[in-house]
Amino acid sequence: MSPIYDICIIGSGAGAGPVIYELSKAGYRVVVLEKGPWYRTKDFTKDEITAVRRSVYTPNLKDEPQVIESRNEDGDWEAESTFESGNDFWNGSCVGGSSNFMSGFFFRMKPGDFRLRSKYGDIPGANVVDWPITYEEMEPWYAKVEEVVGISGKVVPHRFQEPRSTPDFPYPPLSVNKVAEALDEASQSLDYEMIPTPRAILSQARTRRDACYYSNFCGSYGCASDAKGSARVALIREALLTGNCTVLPNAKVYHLETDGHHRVKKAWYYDVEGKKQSITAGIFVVAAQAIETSRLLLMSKNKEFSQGLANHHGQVGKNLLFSGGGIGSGLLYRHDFDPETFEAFMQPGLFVNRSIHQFYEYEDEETGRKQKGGAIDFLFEHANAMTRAIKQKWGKDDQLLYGSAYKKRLYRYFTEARKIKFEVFNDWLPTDQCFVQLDPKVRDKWGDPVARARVGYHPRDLEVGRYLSAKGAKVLEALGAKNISWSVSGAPPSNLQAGGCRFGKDPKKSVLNPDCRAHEVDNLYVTDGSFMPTGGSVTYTWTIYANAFRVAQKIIDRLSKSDL
Amino acid sequence: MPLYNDTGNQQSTPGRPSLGRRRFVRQLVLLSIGSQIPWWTACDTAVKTLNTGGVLTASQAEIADFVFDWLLPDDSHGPSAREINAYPFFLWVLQDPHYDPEQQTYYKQGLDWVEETCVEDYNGPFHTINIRQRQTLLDKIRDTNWGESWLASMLTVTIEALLGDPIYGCNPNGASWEWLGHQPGQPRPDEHTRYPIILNRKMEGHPITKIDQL
Repeated sequence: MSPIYDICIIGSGAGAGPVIYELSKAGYRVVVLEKGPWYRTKDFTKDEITAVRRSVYTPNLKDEPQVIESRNEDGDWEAESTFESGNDFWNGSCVGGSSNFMSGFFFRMKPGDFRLRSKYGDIPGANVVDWPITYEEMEPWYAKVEEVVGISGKVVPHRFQEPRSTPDFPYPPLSVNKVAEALDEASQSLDYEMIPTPRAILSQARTRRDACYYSNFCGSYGCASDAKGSARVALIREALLTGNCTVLPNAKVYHLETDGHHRVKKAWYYDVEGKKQSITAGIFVVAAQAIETSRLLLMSKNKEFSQGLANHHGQVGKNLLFSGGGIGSGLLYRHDFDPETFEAFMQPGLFVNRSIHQFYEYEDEETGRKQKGGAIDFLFEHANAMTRAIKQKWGKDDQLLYGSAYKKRLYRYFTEARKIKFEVFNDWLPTDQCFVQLDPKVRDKWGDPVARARVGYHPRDLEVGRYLSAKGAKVLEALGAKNISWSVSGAPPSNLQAGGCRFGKDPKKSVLNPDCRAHEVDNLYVTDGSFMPTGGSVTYTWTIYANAFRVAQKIIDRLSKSDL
Repeated sequence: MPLYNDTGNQQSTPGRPSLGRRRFVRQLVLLSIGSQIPWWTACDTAVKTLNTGGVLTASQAEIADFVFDWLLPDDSHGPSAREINAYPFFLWVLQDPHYDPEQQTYYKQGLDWVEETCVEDYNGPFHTINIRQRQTLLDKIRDTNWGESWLASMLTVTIEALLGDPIYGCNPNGASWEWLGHQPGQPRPDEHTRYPIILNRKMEGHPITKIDQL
């Protein structure tokens, strides 16, 4: 009997959206199993209690913890449940996934990122490899994301501008705060190349999506105008219009059953009432975000795959990636600027949207060798009032402030200054100390083993992060900011996950082939960031979207040849 | 733990011990082992009449009410705890079935620890000492490890009441936002989208096949 669905997609975020979109439009019967609920656009408000303080859009950590292994002060690995620590690694559990809550800072990876090993050589202690595809092969898909998901920006020539098949972005840049102009001047004084930051946010309305209305609350919040290019509004909604797509929310997949012939035949999931259900399909695509994708494959062990699905060579979960880098900030004080300029700085809503890519590669001062650097992004501190106020409760000598002293400090912080920040992105080198496995003890609310992620980093990550952060701090200094500080650490940013199922040509060293199909399972694809063997030095989402469009075409090509 | 691209989340308290949040709270609780809620808590009738919300004793309520005043006083500079309804907001937090129960317990235990310290220092319960003594007591408690941590968590609740949306009964008419020149984001929550109503969405598991559902 033929399966009801041609394709079953597990997850509905950036890695899933393009496959859902393309397969539905091509006329195939698509079913999506999404662990989280579905929120409509009208459900999204800018309420800090909902989005941030009570974390409504992510699972309750008591129900769905993960376990994080990091080094303690003695250098030993220490595991702690996220329920215990409160350090949440979920990033949005609902239809559209974390793409609903991203800020949409979008960058392409650069040609050199696709051949890191060839270009910069081996790094002791790091599992650096070249990608099995080139930038040139990915470029058309980057361009497609610009159009379909919608990216605004302006192409300006600079040293590391990626080759493009189109002259400019399809949407003009979003409006920026006066500080962008000041940053341009500051960088010029340092002979740095400041460039506009592209955003996956519409600056102009298009069919079924309004333009950005500069709400001032973007990251961590769902978009109320659909300007943000979430998989939900940009792709899944369009897929639903075809009539070929069904989305099942609150469907938590816990096992992929194989047929004894290296093919998945069923996805088993818990429905909203906790009952076990299954879906049969011809092709299965996993895109549950890096940590959970590896977890699902490891949980799907059976007689045929005793170490986990597609894991005969023990590669599933290995070489997990985050993003290396750091964060810096400075304060723009009222008394340091003329009144008109300061009031313009204080204007809420408008973006900063400035970046430096000049140090994407730099010469090591000791060896004189060229080495991989990264990107620096400039932005204002998030508008979250409570979060900002909470940070002000610790005074000098780290003592709790309260009473009138606290109120005065709070008032000054909100009215007499604005914090400008920078974020540094550099490679989180893949190592043997960063991987996903199943925790032997901790279970989720369904009784299944949770993911246990060891999050070791490579010392080079910190060196590069410091180099770039010092550059970012110089810009803030030239801008006239005060109280400038920055920090670089090996603590992983939980919202930038990739790796764990790297793609490659060698089945012994990779989980997926260059088409992101599992080497060992004929009808299983992985299309979230798990496929990335190295992460580049920019945010991942554009690359995840682009690759998922690329793989979607591979699947369509295969289906059209009746290969399955 | 850094979070990139301005997610606006604060996942740990800057400068606080690197211990896990929950483990730290538990250690504080362990420090209080052996202590008992004083007998007068049950029989006392002299305490101020406050709504206890069914979650606090009368003594706990009186201490909490005073602590909020101490944290955010009426000093003619910005809203006071009373003006932002910090205490009713606190009751709402304690009554929230979705809130971390260990944290709720911690808030209440801290109130009991204040009472114990008061008895040790003044030979009587909190409601019997005058305002100056109460302030001195809280100043002293702030200088202890447990006291500073607990008061910091109470200040966080206060800040939520200060800057939360008025739909939660706090920050009436957005007076705190106006004081700080803060513009709340739009749309603001309404009765259909406010916490915890929005959590009900999590129970909807029907298949989506039409665009109007998204």
